[in-house]
Amino acid sequence: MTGQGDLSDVGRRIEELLDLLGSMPDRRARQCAEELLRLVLDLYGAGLERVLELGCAEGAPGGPALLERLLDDELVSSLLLVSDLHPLGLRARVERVLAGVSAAIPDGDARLLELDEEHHMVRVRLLAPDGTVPEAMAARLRKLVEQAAPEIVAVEIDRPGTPVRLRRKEAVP
Amino acid sequence: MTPPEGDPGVTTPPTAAGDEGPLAVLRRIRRPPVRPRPGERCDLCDEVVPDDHSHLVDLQSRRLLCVCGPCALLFAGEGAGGRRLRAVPDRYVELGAEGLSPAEWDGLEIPVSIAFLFVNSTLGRTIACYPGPAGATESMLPLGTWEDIVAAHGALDALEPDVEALLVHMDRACQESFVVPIDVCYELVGHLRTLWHGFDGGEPARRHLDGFFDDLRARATVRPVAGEGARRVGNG
Repeated sequence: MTGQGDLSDVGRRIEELLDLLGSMPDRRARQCAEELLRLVLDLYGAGLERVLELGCAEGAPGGPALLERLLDDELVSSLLLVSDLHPLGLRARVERVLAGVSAAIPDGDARLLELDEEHHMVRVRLLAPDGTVPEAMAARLRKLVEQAAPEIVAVEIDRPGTPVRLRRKEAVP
Repeated sequence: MTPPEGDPGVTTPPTAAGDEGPLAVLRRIRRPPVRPRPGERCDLCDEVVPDDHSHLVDLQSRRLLCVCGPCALLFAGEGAGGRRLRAVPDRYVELGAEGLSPAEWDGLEIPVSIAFLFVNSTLGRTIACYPGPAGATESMLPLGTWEDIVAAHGALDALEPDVEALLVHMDRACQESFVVPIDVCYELVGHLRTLWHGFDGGEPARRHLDGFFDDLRARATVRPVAGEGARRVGNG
């Protein structure tokens, strides 16, 4: 089975092939390919829906606990989004990401400040334990939000004049 | 490290492909992205334009350009002058009995219940487009069909190339045809694209269509296609 890295290559290759078809003189080439993919996705989505029903419903072998584990998996979670099968709404998905990030920085701060559904934007507070916003941490958060909430086109990281650092430790040398 | 104090919030542009995960491409195909429109601008002078701005058709790229009032005036009243940028007129006409018959519609071989047809002056032929999950899908008209239709409906000869369209709505309940500004057609197709679900568009897309045609019937004049189309000041 391919790993997540190889899968990114697959995604890129699909995009390359679609662009190639799009550059052909007959515009229907790309349209046909996209329709084909959509139809295959519809079939797979229908199958995936049955899998969830059979495995994750109340009283099913895995039950809701299995669904939780599946939602924690980046790949499965993205797949559910593609097929409109993700059980959580936009806000819940964003909050789930922030809860995960927050748990990873116990003395820092990661929380949702604002979700603007009309303009597809979120504003979040993100602070490392030392009160800074490390670029790597911000990039990771943006990537996670984009994966979990593809509807969002902009992630604004709030850096207020007086940051909320209630649980901040004493300054680290 | 970035100092938190006094640093304004930072907004990221959408990340480059690959960063959004391997399935992003499939997601886009199933549901093309909705771009936010925080204040559209004039494509000619970059002035901020109101929601109900005018449009020009760029005959070379076949794109619609948003334009502000003053820029729209520059191109108004030019007619089919062979220039690259053409103003979209503001004519809404319900064709009534002059519209397409169900038999003529069947001849177009369109797989859904609506389509818009317009003369592409660059290609020198008539194009039919219909809505779908990926936006407007172009359909090749069977050879000679359009010529037969125009011969039977003289009114269609007055359709202004590139900027006006014949919008046909043909299902069990409605058989109607309108002459409309072409930007209205692309706007409709754009809306339907964001609502499209499943094989036939689904209930939200149907509801949007019902509302759209109610508005169109209220707005359109019922008269033969003839005479000068007023310059556009309507919805953008």
